[in-house]
Amino acid sequence: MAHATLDAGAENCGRLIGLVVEAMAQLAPGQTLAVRAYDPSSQIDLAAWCRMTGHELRSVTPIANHLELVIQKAAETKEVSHGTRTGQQHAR
Amino acid sequence: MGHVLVNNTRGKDDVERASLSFLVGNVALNSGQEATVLLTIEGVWVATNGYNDGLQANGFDPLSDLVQKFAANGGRIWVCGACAKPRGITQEQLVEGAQIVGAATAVEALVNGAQSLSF
Repeated sequence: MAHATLDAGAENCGRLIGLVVEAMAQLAPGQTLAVRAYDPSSQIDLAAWCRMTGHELRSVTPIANHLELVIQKAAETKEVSHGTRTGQQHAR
Repeated sequence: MGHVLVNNTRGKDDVERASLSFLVGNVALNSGQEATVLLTIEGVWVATNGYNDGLQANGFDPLSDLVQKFAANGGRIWVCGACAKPRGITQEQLVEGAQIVGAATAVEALVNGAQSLSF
């Protein structure tokens, strides 16, 4: 049983990732999120996202017309850079 | 951490391309990567205050939301100085997080390993 559930509906691509990011932020390291996704591309996208972020895609289960993907939050989340580069102003 | 450099050349002439650039940038940030959107040609308008109001491509969030989220999450917006100048666009007109830069800035990022994607 996952610690939290997200019904992503038919969202894909950027919106799907955004929803998952928000849901994962509510979890403690090691906890799991079950994502219900109706877009088949969610599997390959979330697998790639997990590889980049360090989270683990624990399982992918086809259920009727959707997939249930269980993601375990990494012990140490790879931090997003929030640095803003302030370079010189250039012109041609 | 990688650096994803997304180039957008479009404004109101193709809101879908402009939106997709920031969508990809947001996904990069949400994936723990460094992200920059480089705006060139007509795309420079996207970084100006108020320009994106009411612009929304089919299937996308409003362009203003995509740009705001990108900047708020630490994404860099580079505005091509050579493209901004003939259009009369100055730094004062740009949204927060946007910066007018020259080609050397983009070249340096590429030389340092940034991976680019263009729309």
